[in-house]
Amino acid sequence: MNTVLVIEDDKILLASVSDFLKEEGFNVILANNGKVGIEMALSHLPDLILCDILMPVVNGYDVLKKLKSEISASLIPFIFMTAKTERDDILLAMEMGVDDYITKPIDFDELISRIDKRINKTREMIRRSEIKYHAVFETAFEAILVIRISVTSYVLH
Amino acid sequence: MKIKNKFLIVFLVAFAITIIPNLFIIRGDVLAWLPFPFWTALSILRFIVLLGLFVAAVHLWIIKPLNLIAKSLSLNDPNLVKDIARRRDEIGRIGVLLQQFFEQTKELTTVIADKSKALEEVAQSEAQLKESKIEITQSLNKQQAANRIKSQFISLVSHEFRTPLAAISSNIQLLHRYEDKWPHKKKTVVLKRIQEGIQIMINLLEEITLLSKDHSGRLFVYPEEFQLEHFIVDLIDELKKNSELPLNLEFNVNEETPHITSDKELLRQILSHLIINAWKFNPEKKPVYVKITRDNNHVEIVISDQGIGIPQRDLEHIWEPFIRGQNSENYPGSGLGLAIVKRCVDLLEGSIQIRSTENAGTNVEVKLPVKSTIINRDEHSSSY
Repeated sequence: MNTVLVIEDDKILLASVSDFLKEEGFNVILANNGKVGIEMALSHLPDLILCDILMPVVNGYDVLKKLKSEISASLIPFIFMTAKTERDDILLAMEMGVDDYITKPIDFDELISRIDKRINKTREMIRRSEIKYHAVFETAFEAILVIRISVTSYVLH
Repeated sequence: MKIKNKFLIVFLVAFAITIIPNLFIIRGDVLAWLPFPFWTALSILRFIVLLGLFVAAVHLWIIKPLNLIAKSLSLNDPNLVKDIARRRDEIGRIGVLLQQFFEQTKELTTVIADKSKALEEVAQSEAQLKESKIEITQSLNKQQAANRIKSQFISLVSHEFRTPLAAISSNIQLLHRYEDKWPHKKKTVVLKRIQEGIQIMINLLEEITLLSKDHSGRLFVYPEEFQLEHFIVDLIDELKKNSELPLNLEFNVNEETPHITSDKELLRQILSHLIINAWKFNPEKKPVYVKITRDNNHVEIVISDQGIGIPQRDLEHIWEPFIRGQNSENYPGSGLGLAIVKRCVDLLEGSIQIRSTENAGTNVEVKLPVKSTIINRDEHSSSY
């Protein structure tokens, strides 16, 4: 089951998006401001993040910037939900590396299609990179030793 | 007669004076009996008479008119050369020329006066032009400012309307999708959310209507007598009920609480906006303090918080509609609240003061008369 983190300060919208995603079979975690959102993203590492832009304490741009700088969270697909429709705002969001955006009022059909597209794309990316490294691993003549700092495991070929 | 001829006459006279006695000398026998010194004396006398004649002629015909010409030039008086101009000799011609010169000078003076007058007029109209240019620039600036406020208004209002609209629309979509699947209880929750979204839109519309009413002078004061403390307690309860977050508010009344005669609706507008602001711009949700004190004819209500505060540069414009503190962008709001508060305080003939430090908190003091009167709208129509 895919986990989606929703960061939104408007409690009515937060609740309805949450209801919708739950009905569509997602595991949903919620944050009502940017600060809590960053904490939850880093601790839960969700499959996708839906985030508002204008929020008190830490706004959507800052959430995106922070998460893009964290290795563990930088590849999580990030979608802005925003009442801002000005071109400049959207361009700024694109430059900052947001994967997609959806404007309020939200159309749930559009939302689900964008979420599915992003999750599938990421899954495909991971699958390809797995195949690639698997191939490297299989065709290696020498032994490959994978060492992690906390847990050391030996994989011999 | 030309001077040359005049002098010729003088010369002829002198010649006669000189020659005639000589004629007598030639006829020496006639005057031979006169002694020799007599002849010498006669020669001297002749010389003196001749010299006198010449000097007089030179003075009369040359020096005197030249002096007059000099005098007329220095006094700039053409009348002095009138007589000279009538003479028909060289000096007379000078006089005529001088008269022409004076005439031309006079004409020139008139022309110069006219020109300088015209120049003055040009300068004047230039100054007027400059003035009207300034006026036009000012009114253009005013218009631009008004346009800016208008577009700010449209952008703020469209954002503020979009948020509750998004809430309403998303919940309606939920009902459509899961109407058959969801139990009655769940559907009631969703309907309540729609109701809340609609209420937010109604509040926003009411704010706009209130300001527009004020703008066209249709906002009146309807005073009634009531107990201030009870009024505030009820208002706080109502605000608490409407806000799902716990409202951490401490309410202090210093002395015996006064009965006041005021307009309940305007007072509600003032206090609810101030209390909601104190709570909204307060991310760590530190407590908000409300205090009432009273002196003879006034009550003072102080609302203080420890929120994000208002930047110094925004404080002077904070009462203008659609103007929001620069640190408030991420907080919802239309930028109308404080404009409404200020107008309501003015209508109640009170005063309001804000002291604020960015990131430390805000302190608002509202001073209202214990007894408000019905206000004629003409005296208090809005200035913006």
